[in-house]
Amino acid sequence: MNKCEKYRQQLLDLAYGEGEETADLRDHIENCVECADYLGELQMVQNRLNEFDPPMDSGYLMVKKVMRHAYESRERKRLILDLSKFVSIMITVFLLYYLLYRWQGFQGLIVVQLIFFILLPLSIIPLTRMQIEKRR
Amino acid sequence: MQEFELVYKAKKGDLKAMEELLDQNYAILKGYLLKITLDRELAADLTQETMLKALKKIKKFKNRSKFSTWLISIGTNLYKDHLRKNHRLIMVEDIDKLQVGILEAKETDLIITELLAELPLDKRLVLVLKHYFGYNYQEIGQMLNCPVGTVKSRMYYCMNFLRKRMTGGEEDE
Repeated sequence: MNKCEKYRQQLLDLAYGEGEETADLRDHIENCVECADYLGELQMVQNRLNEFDPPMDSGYLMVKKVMRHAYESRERKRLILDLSKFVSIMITVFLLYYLLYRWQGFQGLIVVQLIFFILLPLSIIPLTRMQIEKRR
Repeated sequence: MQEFELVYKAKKGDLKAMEELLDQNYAILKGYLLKITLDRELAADLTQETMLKALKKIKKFKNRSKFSTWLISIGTNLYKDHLRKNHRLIMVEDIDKLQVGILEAKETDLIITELLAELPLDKRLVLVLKHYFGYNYQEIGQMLNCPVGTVKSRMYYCMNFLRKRMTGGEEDE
């Protein structure tokens, strides 16, 4: 890297708010016409680059589209989770029934079923309470 | 609401907070992708892809940088992947194709687009991040995963290239 190149790199850094202006650099610019020209051209390039401003949209529709995808994906995940919960509960119930059948035979199964059907209407009480609490 | 609050809520699964974050950073992301791809359609696709990826990976976002910086990093990686997959090289012959998406642009925009398209991608990324987004050399180095010295020399190359092309001289190799 020659002397001028070093100062030009420094000028570029300064133009973009990096580094510090040194007395050495100032002296060089005052005495080197090419580097003084470089500084002018650098500012010209910056100005031209600033003119480049591609038209933009608000992004409202795209953000909404992405968010719709997010909501759908969350709903899908919830459904999969609910389904897996349901399947695991069903498997457990059938397993319990099978174990009961092995232990007590058909009679045991029928007794448990009867108890279950007698107690079923009682489940209305906690369900109603849950509904009331949800409304609150 | 402050950005870090929105990020915190978004990490907890608050989609409203995530929507606000994306809304606030859309212009930065799209502007960045427009300037590096120089292709309106591709920039729109990549913006959408970037936002979707950010939604999926929000829990991995560490608050060490701004949310927009994180989005820009994702966007850059997606663009590089896109180029790799499509074996698309930005070459001088492709300029007409690249400009198709910026039909409604001003004449100055077209000239700058042409010049930017001539720059190799790794150098163009540095120029866009430095000039249009004001990141410092260190931040750019972290974003692009390269040393500060390389960032500086790429920036110097870009400026020399543009300076010589704009003043009608020949660029250095």
